[in-house]
Amino acid sequence: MTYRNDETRTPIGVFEGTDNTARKQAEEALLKAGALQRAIFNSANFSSIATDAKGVIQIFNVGAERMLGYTAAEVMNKITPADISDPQELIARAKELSAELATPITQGFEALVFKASRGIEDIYELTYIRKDGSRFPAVVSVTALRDAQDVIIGYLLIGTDNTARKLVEAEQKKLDQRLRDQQFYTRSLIESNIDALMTTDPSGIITDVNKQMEALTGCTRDELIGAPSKNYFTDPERAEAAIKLVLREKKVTDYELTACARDGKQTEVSYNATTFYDRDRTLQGVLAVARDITERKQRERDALSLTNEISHRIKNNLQVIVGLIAYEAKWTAAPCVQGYKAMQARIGAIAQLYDLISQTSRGRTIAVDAYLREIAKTMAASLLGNTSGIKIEVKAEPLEIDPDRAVPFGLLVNELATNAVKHAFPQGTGHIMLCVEQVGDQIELIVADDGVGMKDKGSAKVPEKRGSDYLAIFVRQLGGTIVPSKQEATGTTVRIRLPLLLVLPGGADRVAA
Amino acid sequence: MAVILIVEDDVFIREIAEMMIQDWGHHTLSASDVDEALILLRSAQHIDALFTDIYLKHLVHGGCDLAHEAIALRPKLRVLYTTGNSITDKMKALFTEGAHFLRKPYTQYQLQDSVKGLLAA
Repeated sequence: MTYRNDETRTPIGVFEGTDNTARKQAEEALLKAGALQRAIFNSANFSSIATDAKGVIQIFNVGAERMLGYTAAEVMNKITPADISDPQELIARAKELSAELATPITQGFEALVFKASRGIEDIYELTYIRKDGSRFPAVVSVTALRDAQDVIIGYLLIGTDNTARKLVEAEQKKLDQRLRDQQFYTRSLIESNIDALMTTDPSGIITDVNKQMEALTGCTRDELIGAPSKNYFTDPERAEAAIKLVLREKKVTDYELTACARDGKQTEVSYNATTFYDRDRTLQGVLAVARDITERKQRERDALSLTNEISHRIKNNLQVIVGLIAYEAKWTAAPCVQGYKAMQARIGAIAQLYDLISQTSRGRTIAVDAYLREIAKTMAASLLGNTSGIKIEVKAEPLEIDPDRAVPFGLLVNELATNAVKHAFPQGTGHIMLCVEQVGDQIELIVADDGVGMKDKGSAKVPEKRGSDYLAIFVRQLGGTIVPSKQEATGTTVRIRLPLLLVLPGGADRVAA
Repeated sequence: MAVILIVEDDVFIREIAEMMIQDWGHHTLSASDVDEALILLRSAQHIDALFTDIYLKHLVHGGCDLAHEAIALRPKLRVLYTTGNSITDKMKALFTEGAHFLRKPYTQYQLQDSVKGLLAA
């Protein structure tokens, strides 16, 4: 059966009724009615151009007229679709097809229909040129039209305007580029960080790392991603605890860990981490920064060993002095030995105070409460022993004192408490209370005992003359005053008030001082 | 009366310690470093106790190492350490089992108490 276009009477297609299926019958019914044909050729959104076997345009539908700006009459029987296509593209296409199909193909209309002429389905992009010379991208499907003997009698080129799609593609390309730029920027921020960075999921599995983290662990990015982060530290339990701490507290700072590389190299790091979230505030995991603190730790170790060295020398020198006194005491008459003994005890107290000061130091200040507890502990150990009936108790508010006054403060406490131990308890049992509290802008130190008191001035419980002289000196050194206490039936209470911290932690002098 | 080996690199401190200990009737041997002490410990000389400084001639824990070698040679030896430095838990972990400790500076009375306690243990 041959169908002809109503307007031109040019044969445009051959349909063979060899297949008797229901579908074929339905198609034929439609075609008979001309409805499908009309619909295709009248579609304004598709350009349908039919040519004869040589390519000369025979049909130019409404869509083609609209897209290309020609009327059907202007092109029919006059030009081929090659004349309204970009010639450069035709040259390129001819060259490509020649190479692909290994046969010479000319640059004109043949280049557009060669594949279709060989029965190969062909859809490609080309640039059509409108009557006014403007261009637009089109996607064209080419089919060969054959007669009953299978001889090509023409070609059908159905095209769609691809401008909108091209614009979308161009926009998409721009967006993709912008996204790549953004990713590059973000990545370079991560990579240019001097610290090792990693992100983990909430269970501690590594999800991303930077180059520094690869260097720190001696592992590649691929090896690290997906592995538990705790595996790369010498103490995996402590590393895991850090992640749990971050999840609980939302961040951790200066958490010290030792990273362990594949080759066994260990690096001390300060681990700082925070949780991070997506746009919907859903927890994504933990961002951890591991800063190499090897140098800082080495400096700390150096400082510690220097401190130890100095302490060793100071204590040895004090030991020499105590030894010299011991030697003198050996050749001294018995009544004078007590003085040497007291001298040695005070030197011992100074040495111990230095240790306690370094233990209770808070940078530029000393924590008085902790210092007083340490003094009590040391005195109990050296003066009383485990079996003594005399107990030393401490009641202290958290106050601070400057290091310059820590030694006289300690010697003052030592002198007062030693007096109590020696003189207040002839029965060998009782309590000594060491107390510091803030009273106005002063620190009040109270050393009290529940012993026999000082009512009977004739007895041996009166402190030695030198001892009370020293007390007065220490109080003056502290810038303090002794608060007169009323005589009580039992026990002795000494109250001393001294100014609060003379130097504030920030380093500025206290205004009131 | 006991034989006590005193290991101390400071000559004055060592001799004063010897004097203090001899005053109570004990016999003393002395060494200024680990090597000298080990020569005595490896000899046939009877020794009841070792009184050693921890920081010995640049060896921060020289006395601790010495005590371990000494105990390996003489398991019944009693050990008394001394140092002017603060005693940390880390350092205590290095002490031999049952060892005693005396902080520097110590007086003749404190040393006497320590030696008494050491020998009585």
